[in-house]
Amino acid sequence: MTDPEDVWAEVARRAAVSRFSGATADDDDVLVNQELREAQLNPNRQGGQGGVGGPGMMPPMMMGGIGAGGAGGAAPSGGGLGGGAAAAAASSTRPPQASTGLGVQAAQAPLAEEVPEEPEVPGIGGGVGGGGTGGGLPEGGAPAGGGAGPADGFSADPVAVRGIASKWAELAQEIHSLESPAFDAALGLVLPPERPQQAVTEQVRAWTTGAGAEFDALVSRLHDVAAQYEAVEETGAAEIRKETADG
Amino acid sequence: MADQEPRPTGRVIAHEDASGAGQLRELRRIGYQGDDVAEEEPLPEPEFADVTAALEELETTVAAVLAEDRAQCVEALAQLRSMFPSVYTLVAEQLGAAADTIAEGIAARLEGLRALVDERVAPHAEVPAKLEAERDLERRQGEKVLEIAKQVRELVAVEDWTGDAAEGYRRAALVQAGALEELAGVEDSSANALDHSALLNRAAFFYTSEAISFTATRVRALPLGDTSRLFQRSRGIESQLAVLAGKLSHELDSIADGDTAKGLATELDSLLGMPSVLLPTGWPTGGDSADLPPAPTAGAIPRLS
Repeated sequence: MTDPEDVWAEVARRAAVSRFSGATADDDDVLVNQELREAQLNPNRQGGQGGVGGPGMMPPMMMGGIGAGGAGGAAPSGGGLGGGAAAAAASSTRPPQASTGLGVQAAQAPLAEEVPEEPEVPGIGGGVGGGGTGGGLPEGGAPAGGGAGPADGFSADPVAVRGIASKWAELAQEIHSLESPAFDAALGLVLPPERPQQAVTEQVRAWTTGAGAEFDALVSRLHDVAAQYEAVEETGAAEIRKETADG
Repeated sequence: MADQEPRPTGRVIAHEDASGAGQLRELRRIGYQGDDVAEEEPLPEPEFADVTAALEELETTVAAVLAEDRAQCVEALAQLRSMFPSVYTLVAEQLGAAADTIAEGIAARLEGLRALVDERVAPHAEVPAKLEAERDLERRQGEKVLEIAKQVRELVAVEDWTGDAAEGYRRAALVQAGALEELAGVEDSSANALDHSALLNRAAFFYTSEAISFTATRVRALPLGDTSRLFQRSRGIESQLAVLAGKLSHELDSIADGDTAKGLATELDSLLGMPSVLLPTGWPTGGDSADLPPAPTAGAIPRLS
């Protein structure tokens, strides 16, 4: 896939299936980590390694190579979208190093022989090249490196993530539709259980309200994550296009 | 109920320990009517109206017995008048005064009994139905929450999504599923607790109406005295009413604040301490507790039947 047009075609293919691979969050609970977005935007994070651009580099979440798909359908791990190396239509044969943050890093992934090493693309952080020889991104979301890549590599389907978000939204609606217990602290003739029954009722009410709020938050976070995946993908595609145009 | 004989088997259960959980379950099982009645023909749940009806039955019975005693007295005085006219007036006055005193005593007992019912039982007439409605609501809510939890578990694994973000999501989803399962269990147990309380109130209605009906039966069964023992039954009525009031007061205390009620309070207190995923401070977020198995909050307070 040395022909730039082939590279672009590959990127376009990946975009079409909305699947890519790249670096991941350093937080094991990215959905709950409200600081994730900030962290992703921090250019000093680990993800900046390996090809992280200097001045004018893109936000870390945009770093990392598209797909990182290796030759022969190798792993998606590590390679964040939009990496400079990706612009060179890399075909990584080895999974990139562990990464941090969504779309961050994958920078140290060796590039395939066809790929110029560490192309200096201003504004691009350490991206491992996009789809490598043999198809780049694995179908079915193999986690990394032909299924054995680094644990913090990732594969994601933004459409699927948004689909999951929609399902959570439906469940959130169901929770919001639950009626609040109407117990009014009167157990009639029976006196001792009144206070604890009231406490249970109030706690159930609070938990139910909290569940609805958390479900709403999860929906929002899932959409955010999907948007970040999509942004990384789009950025990577743009970078590759730019690289291709630059020749 | 006014025209019915007391339901003997149920009465025995209630009189032995109206507040005992085992007895309550047994009452529910047999439909408050006794083992000798087919289960497929359950009587309606005890209502306060049963108490009112029983009280009216008792008052009617007492009035009838008093009237019979007065009639016997009049007949005896007529005989006395024909046999000993010189003493008739004196005896008639004494018997009349005695009858009035007995009647006043009985009236006071009946008034006390009605006051007891009005103060201790009547204010809770609508409580069982309300609690049962709330029980049904909480039970339905718990079932809905459990169904949502099942759906959440189906969302835990997202195909083609791997990596730390996916793992974070997976853990967060697991926490939500576990929390929902615990919440569903808490609601189930809370519903069961409400059922216990509703049943205790119904047990009070049941016991009260049965005890009153039983007393009415006892009054009817009092032997009519001969002319040498006029108003014997009337005196017996007062005694029966005094016993009834004492028993009722004691049993109502036992239902209201007895071991069953206290045990239920303890179970409810414990229920809030059971969850491992749910937090006492609020709904859990994040994935920290994803590895914790949900606590078995369902059935922590068992269903009565």
